[in-house]
Amino acid sequence: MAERTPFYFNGSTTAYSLRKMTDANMALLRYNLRFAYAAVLNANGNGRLYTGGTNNVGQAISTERTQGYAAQARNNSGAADWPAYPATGTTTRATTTFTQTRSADTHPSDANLRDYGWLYWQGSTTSFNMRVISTETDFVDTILTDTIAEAVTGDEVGTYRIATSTPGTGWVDKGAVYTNHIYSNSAQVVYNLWLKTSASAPGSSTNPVGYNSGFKSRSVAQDGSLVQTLLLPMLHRRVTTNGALNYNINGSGTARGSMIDTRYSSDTTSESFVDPLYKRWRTPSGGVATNATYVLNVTTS
Amino acid sequence: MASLQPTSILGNLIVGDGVAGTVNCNGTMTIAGGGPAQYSILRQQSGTSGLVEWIAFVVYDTDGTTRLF
Repeated sequence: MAERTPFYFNGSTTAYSLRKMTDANMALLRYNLRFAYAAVLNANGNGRLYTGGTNNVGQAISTERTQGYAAQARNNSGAADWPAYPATGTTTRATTTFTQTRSADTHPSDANLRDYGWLYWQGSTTSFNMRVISTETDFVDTILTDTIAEAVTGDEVGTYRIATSTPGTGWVDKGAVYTNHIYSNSAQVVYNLWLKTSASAPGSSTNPVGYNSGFKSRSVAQDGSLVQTLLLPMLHRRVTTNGALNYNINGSGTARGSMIDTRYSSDTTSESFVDPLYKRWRTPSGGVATNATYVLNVTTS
Repeated sequence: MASLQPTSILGNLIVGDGVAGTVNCNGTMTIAGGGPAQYSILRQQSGTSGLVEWIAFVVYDTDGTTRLF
């Protein structure tokens, strides 16, 4: 398990060299991997977050206070026969269940690794050896961990947020997922799910060097084979087997917006006599108070 | 310029002692101890002695043992 940094071609036809890519050199490849992952999510593919389903993420419940009502028949005793004022009640107006698709994917074949992967240094001063990167842990240490960290705490491309309005440029509206009600099914605040699909691409394009029937420059484009055939399945595997880019409600991870369930915090009373019934009501009103907060979190592992 | 006829030289061969010289091989040059089909890189050990050595150049497949180059 180690970083297996790729080489890239440096120089010209007359001054040729191979150089190890720096962290900055690999920034564009990491970004393009996040961009490609976001495209899969946006097309409702593997890894997406949605409402409904089997509930492997959590739930957000919208509740509200309900009116209390009491009635008592007159007993003709000579005085009013009002019942005591009833208490208000509560009811669940809606329950939002969140589910994330986490389908298993397979590690790329040796043939694909050879055809689309890169070379790393495995030599010494007396033996100039390079090798095709192959093990999953090497990919994790070299690119996947950093890619996931940048998705969670960096540009957020390939991840979701809960918000009442767009979080900014590059966010795609995936629709309303939670509505807060306070009384009588009156919607107060609507929360939408947002997916970050793009941001400013970092750095310039530096292509890793691979080998299959000759030394080849590997495109780092988001639709290229390196991203699509090798890195994207590996990223999906991190989601499925390692808990990376997994979502939860009110669990651990990095917060990605809250859904707040509020209710009326006070009430008013009223009464009416309709022979033979003395009727009283307690009706929610006034300000609102928070009943529960549902935080969407995303994890790195 | 002197031309060597078919012969074996036991010991060091110095070309251009003190002045610039060139070694031309109009045919096959065999490297004693070299591996068949082995690519190598010529490495100059230092700027003063000018000694060079062959460095094996290999590209391995995903298994780390199968040679691709």
